[in-house]
Amino acid sequence: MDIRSAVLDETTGFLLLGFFGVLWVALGVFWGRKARDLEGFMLAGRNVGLALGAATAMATWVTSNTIMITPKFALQMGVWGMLAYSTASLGLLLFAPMAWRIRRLMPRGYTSGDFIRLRYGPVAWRLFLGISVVYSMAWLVSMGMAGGIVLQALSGIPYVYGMSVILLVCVLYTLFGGLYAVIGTDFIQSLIILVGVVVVGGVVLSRVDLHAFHARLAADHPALLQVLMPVALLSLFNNMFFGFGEIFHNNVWWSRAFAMRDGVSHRAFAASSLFWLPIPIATGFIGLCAGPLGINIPDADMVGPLVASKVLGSMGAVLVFVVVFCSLASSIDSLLAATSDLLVEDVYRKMLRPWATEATLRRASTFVIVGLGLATWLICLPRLGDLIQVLFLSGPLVASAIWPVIAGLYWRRTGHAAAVAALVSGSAAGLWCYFAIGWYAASLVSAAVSMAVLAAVTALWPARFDWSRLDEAEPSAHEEARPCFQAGSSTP
Amino acid sequence: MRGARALAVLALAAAGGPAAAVPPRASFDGADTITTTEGHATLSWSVDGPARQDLRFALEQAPTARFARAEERYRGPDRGSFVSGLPEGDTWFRVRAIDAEGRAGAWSAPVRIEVAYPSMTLVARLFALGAVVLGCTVLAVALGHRRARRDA
Repeated sequence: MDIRSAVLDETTGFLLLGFFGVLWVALGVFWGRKARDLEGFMLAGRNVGLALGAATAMATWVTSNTIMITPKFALQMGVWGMLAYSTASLGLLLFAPMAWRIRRLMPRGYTSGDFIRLRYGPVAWRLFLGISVVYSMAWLVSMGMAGGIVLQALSGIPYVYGMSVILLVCVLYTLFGGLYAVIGTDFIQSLIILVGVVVVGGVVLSRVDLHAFHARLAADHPALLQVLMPVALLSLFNNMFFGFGEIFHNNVWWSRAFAMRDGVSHRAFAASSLFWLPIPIATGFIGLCAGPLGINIPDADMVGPLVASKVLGSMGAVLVFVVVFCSLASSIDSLLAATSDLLVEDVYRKMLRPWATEATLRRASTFVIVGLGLATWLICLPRLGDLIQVLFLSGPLVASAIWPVIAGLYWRRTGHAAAVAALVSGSAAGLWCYFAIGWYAASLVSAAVSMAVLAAVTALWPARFDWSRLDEAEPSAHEEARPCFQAGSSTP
Repeated sequence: MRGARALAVLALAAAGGPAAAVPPRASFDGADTITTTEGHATLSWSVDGPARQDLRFALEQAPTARFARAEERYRGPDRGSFVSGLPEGDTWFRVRAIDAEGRAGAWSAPVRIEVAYPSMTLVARLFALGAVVLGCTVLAVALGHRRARRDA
C-alpha cells in the first residue's frame, strides 16, 4: 500500500534515532559497570527500591503495543476496545501480592522457570519453557515490527532500516549493562512516556469538538458506539486473561520480583498498575479521534502515530517518535534480558552445562542476547501479518499458565499432573478457539479450560508439596565450577 | 511561431495527448468481497499505467450496490484506507482517481464488505464465562495472599 502521510523528513528521523540510540547505549555502558558478577547482571544485585521498581514495571508494560495497538483497538472496537486494553493493568495489580509470595518462597530464585521446575518437575518445566519462549519471541517480533512501522509512518524511514536500528540499540545496551542498564533506562523512559502521552492526549482532546465527534462517529462508524458490540465485549475478558497470562508466567516480571528489595515488590507492582492505567485510555482516545478529525488511516497499525502527528504537526510527530522509541526500548530491553536469563539458567545451565562457571554463563548470556536479537530481526524482516495477529496467537498459550502459577504459589495440594494437564488442555482449547471462533475468545477459553482442568485434577489426585523445596540452594556454578544440579533430577 | 504552437496543440489533442488525458481508472487490490466478523477491513487500491504523483483519490461508501445514498469517506493522496465500525450486513465501496486539474477518472468496480458479527448468544455465554473465571482468579489470589500473610 502506498502511504503518503509521513510528517517528518527522513533526516530528522535518522537524527532522532541516532541521538536516542547513542544515549541509551551510553547509559547502558555507564550503569553496566555496576554489574560485577552474574547476579548483578541478571538481577541488579537484588537491591532495587520502590521508585525504580515501580518505574521499571510501568515502563516495561508500556510497550509499543500500548502506544500502537490500543489506538487500533479503539478504532476497531470503539470505547470498549480502549477499555479492553486498559484491563491489562489489573494483571500488574494481581501480580503485586504474588510478587510478595515469590520473594518469600524463593529468596534466592533466578527465573520463573526455576519456580515451575522446583514446584512441578521436568515435564511441566519443559512445557512452560516452550510456551514462554514462543510468547517472548512473539512479543519481541511484534515490537520489532512496530518499531519499523512507526518510523516509516512518522518520518518515511524505510521499515527495514527503522526496525534494524531499534533492535540493534536495544541489543547493545542490554548486552553491556544487563538488568542494571534495563532498570536505569526504564526509569528515564517511563518519565518521557508519561509526559509525552499526557501532552499528546491533552492536545488532541483540546482540538476535538465532542458533539461533532459523536455525530461523525455515529454517521461513519455506527458500530463503534454500540454498547453491545459483540467482538468488543468478547475482547474485554480475552485481553484481560491474555494480560494475566503474560504477567504471571513471564520471566520479565519474575526477574523484577527477584530483583527488588524485600518488602518492596508488592508495593512497586501495585503502584505501577495505577501509573499504567491512564496510558491506554489516552492513547485509545487518540485512535478514536481519527474518523471525527477526518484523518485517513491507510494502515490500522499506524493510527496512533498518524493522528498525533497530524494534529500536533512536526512537533507532535517528534514527540510521538520519542515516546514510541522509549516504549519500544523499555520493553525490548526487558524482554531480551529476561528471556536470555531464562534460556541461560533454565536451558543452558540446567539442561546442557550444569558445570558451567560464572564466566561461561556470562559468555552464554552474551551469545543468547545477540542470538535473540538476530532471530527477531530475521522474523521481522518480511513484515508478515499484522501486529495483533502476531501477538494474539501466543495468547492462548500464556493464558493456560495463569492457574498453574497461582495454584503453584498458594495451593499445596496441586501437583505436577494438574499443572501439566492444565497447560496442555488450556493451550489446545485456546488454539482451537483462535481458529474456530476468533482471536477475541482464544485466551478466555484457554484460561477457563486450564482453570477447570487444574481444579478437577487437584481435587481427584491431591499432592502435598513442601514449600521449603522452592528455596533452592545457591547454584554452585555462581561460586565454584562444581555442579549442584542434574537436569531432570528435581521431580517433586 | 504562434501558428506552429497552435498546430502542435491541435496535433496533441488529436492524438489524445497529455492535455486531454483523464486520470486512469483506479481499482481495488484483492477480492471484490470481504467477509468479516469484526466490522472492519483494510482497503487498498492502485491505478493502471505509469506511476503519477499528482493523483488524489475519492473513496465512497454506500449501503447498496447502486450507491444511491453514497457518502465520501476519504479524499486524498493515500492509496488505502482502514474502515471500521461498519454495521451488520453489506457495505459497498468504490474509488476513483482525480488529477491536479480536478478531472476525475472512472469509478472502480465496487468492493462489498460483508459484516457478520458473532451471535449475541455466543457473546453472552463467553462473557459470563469470563466473569466467572475472573471472579475465581481474583478470589484465589486474594485468599491465598491472606493465608500466606497469616502464616508468615
